[in-house]
Amino acid sequence: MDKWKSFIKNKKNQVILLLSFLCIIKIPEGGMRFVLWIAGGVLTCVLLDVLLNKVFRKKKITPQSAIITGFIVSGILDYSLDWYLLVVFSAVAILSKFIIQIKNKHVFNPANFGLFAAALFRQPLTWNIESNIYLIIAAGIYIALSIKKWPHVLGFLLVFSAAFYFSGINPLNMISWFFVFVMLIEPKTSGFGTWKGLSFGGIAGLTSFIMFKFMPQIDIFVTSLIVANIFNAIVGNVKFGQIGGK
Amino acid sequence: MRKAFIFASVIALLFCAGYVFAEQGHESSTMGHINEETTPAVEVGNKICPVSGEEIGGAMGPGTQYEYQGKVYNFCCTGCIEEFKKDPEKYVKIVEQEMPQHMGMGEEDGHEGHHHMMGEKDEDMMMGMDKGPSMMGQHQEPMMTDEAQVKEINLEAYQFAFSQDTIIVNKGDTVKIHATSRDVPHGVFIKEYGINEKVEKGKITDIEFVADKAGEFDILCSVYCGRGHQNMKAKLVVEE
Repeated sequence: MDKWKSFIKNKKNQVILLLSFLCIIKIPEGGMRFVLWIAGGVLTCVLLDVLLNKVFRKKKITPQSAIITGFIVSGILDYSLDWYLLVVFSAVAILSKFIIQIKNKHVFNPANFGLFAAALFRQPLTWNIESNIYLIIAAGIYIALSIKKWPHVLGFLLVFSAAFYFSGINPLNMISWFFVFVMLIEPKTSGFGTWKGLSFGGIAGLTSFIMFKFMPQIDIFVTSLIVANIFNAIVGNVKFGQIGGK
Repeated sequence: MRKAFIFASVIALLFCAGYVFAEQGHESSTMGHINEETTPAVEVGNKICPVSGEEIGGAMGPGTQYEYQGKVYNFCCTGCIEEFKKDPEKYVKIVEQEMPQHMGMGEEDGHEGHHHMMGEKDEDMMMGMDKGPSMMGQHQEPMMTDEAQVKEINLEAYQFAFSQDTIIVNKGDTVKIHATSRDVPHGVFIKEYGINEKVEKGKITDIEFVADKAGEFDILCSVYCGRGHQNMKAKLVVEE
């Protein structure tokens, strides 16, 4: 019982549960192909993360982050694509964690980086994992509050909503709640603090709108998080150029 | 606790405000209304009044215009507009028949040719494009041009569907899709044919390919277009 309690209290496990539910909801429509696609993404990320940690960092890990990354990459990348693309972009996601680092901390949200690579290669991101927005919002509010990421969410929502509203487009029709409550608030790449969070979210919101206006074919949310991650790295006042882990 | 309350309140407020906005937007999009402020009407450019048969700009004077389902038609006089309103579809068909001789709706600035430039004959085919709700969820039998096995298809994308859920062509056909958007940018992605094109409101994107693979293929929206993006799909059926 205690084991279960500690398991459920773990934030990463909560996110994994949320992602699992979202995928289960999608199964009736996506079918076996979708199940295998998700499993393939998760497996690729987990195997690669475990392997790279063992070889380069000489440590054993519990691959919760890799599971989340796998869910996100495979849940957003369209599941009708060729299998090798899933493996490639899942691998890019995990590799980004090991390669693009500053002071031994990765700069980009790994899943988002993999998806950004996919978007650059004009692969469709269909966001199939966003299967129930009410579940995402309910769980997302709880998670954002418990990991103190509400300023990020607020910053994003305010800027994104204002920009779309004033250009005559319903922001609620355009927003991705999955992006807001799962991807934007990834703890390691978004920074902490009220003002930093508001700025981080605001930059992501503004970039989303600019991308929507000028380059919507490259996913607006994925690109906006790349920009916000770079902002976070710069504000973190660290030097670029340190490549590779310990 | 206070922060949590404020945070939840702001989210709830945004949601309520957006819901009202969404309801209004949904109503106008599902009813197929084309708002003049947001969707520029297309000039059909007919030179003969479909009601009287008179040449516009001739003995009856400079003529007048009337917009119907996002298209602006020319008439010789206001009396003919009133007649047109009684049975618009009848007169639209007459205009369509006239268009081979007097086609004028190809506005170059709103026309994006990714795979080929549209010729006069291609533009004739655009007359078959229905921007209203009548084509929603229906199959469209592609229009045949004079040349056999060239099929012209008009496809409109909108939040969150395509104007046709199934497009049926024969293997070996040259398929020309003229795609546009009713609202926000969308994408037309057909994996098996290597097609991935952005479509925008007010522009026609031409997509051309030879249907050399038989089967059923998904047509997906490849540009994030909102909360229903994942469900925005159609089907291309290539029959043997």
